[in-house]
Amino acid sequence: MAEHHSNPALFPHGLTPGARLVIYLLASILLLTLDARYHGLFWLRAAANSLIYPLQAIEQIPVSAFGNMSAFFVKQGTLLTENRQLRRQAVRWQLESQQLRSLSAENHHLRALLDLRSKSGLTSHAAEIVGISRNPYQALISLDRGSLSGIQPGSAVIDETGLVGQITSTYPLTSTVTLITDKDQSVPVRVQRTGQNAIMFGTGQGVELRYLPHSTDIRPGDLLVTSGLGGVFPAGLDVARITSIDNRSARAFDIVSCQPLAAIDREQQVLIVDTHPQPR
Amino acid sequence: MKQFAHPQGPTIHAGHSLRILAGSLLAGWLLNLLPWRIDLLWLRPDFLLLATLYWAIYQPTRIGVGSAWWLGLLTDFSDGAHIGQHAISYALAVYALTLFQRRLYNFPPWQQALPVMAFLLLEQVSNILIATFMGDSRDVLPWMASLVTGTLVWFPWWGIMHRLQVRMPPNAP
Repeated sequence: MAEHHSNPALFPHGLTPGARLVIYLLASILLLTLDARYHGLFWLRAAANSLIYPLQAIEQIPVSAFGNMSAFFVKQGTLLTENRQLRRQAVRWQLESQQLRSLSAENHHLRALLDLRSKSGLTSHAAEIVGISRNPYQALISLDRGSLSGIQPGSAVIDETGLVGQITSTYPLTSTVTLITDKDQSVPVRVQRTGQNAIMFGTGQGVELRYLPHSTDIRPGDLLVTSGLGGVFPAGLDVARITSIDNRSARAFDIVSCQPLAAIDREQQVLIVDTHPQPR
Repeated sequence: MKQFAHPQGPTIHAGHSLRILAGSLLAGWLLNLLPWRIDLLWLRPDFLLLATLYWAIYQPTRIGVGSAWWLGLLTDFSDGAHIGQHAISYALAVYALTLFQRRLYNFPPWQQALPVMAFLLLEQVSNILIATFMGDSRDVLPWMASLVTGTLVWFPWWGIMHRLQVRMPPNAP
């Protein structure tokens, strides 16, 4: 058994803790500068991420096993109700999908007549949320698909209710999603009811529209969808619903608060939608 | 002089083996990596920091400012923070702890809890300051709740670690 003194020597020699602290502080300031200003540590991040991911995946196993087990004990009644709801939904979607098929055929035909390039179909990958940053400043989540699965930075991430965010960095096995609520994230959107274009900004807690003049026709409850302008997000994805509008005349523009539709705090599965850079 | 050569009493605490030290740090880090629910994330204590503080109290020759810095760097990589952000704050918290290490060593856990909370606060505040300097901004007040949960977790953590101590039988040669 290794004997080890648990208290420091009475007369320590070498650097004092204060001096060591100063050295380490300088080292971290150097790292912070390299990382943030020159993005010089990306390869290091990528390497660390590839090492950490297998551990995260292993840790996911008992958690999902528990989920499966508690799913096994769901009440019969709950299942029946859910089943009935799903059937009803399936019928409705069946109808909508038929309409969609005919509309899309018609659209294709009309576009061909107008000699417009037909909109390319979207390709998507299903992915699972494997990690959530504890860092309160960055609204980041990591997914279990990376550049090896063909994920590219810039792709949109959605769940079944709406836009979740955008892939901002990809590593070989994982990728990082910046949520639409992130302070540095903005999404070109359109008010579905009126067709008004706007830009939606993340605020850290939620999302809001800025730079809309007071005369804009918007109401609480309006649905915002991606407009596809800028070519980053595909058009027509549900994003958010307007909750309140601050149009005091003391401000130059309206401040419109919105509620994102995607439920990243509840869902595990998301869809990565490739926005193919269209050849021009 | 006989009682000095053959001390009485149940056992003598002789510290921890290196394996337990490394294992508990790994365990703390893995607990942080668990897929926590995003809406409860602000309640999650920083287990790795708690482990680091524990060892800075009980094994100060092994875990000091330097090792805290490296562990903080590990957190930066696993949390997707700015590289160096947690490194600074961990090192600062452990530095503050080294100033009181001899006293804390002799305290029972309930007396250690309040200073531990202060070190967690120091880590959190320096973290917020660095992030603010780097251009991030967010409502951080709810995240202060992790100080309370961290302090509450200190007791079971201390209990488990205390049980893992290497005990020498009273009449060991």
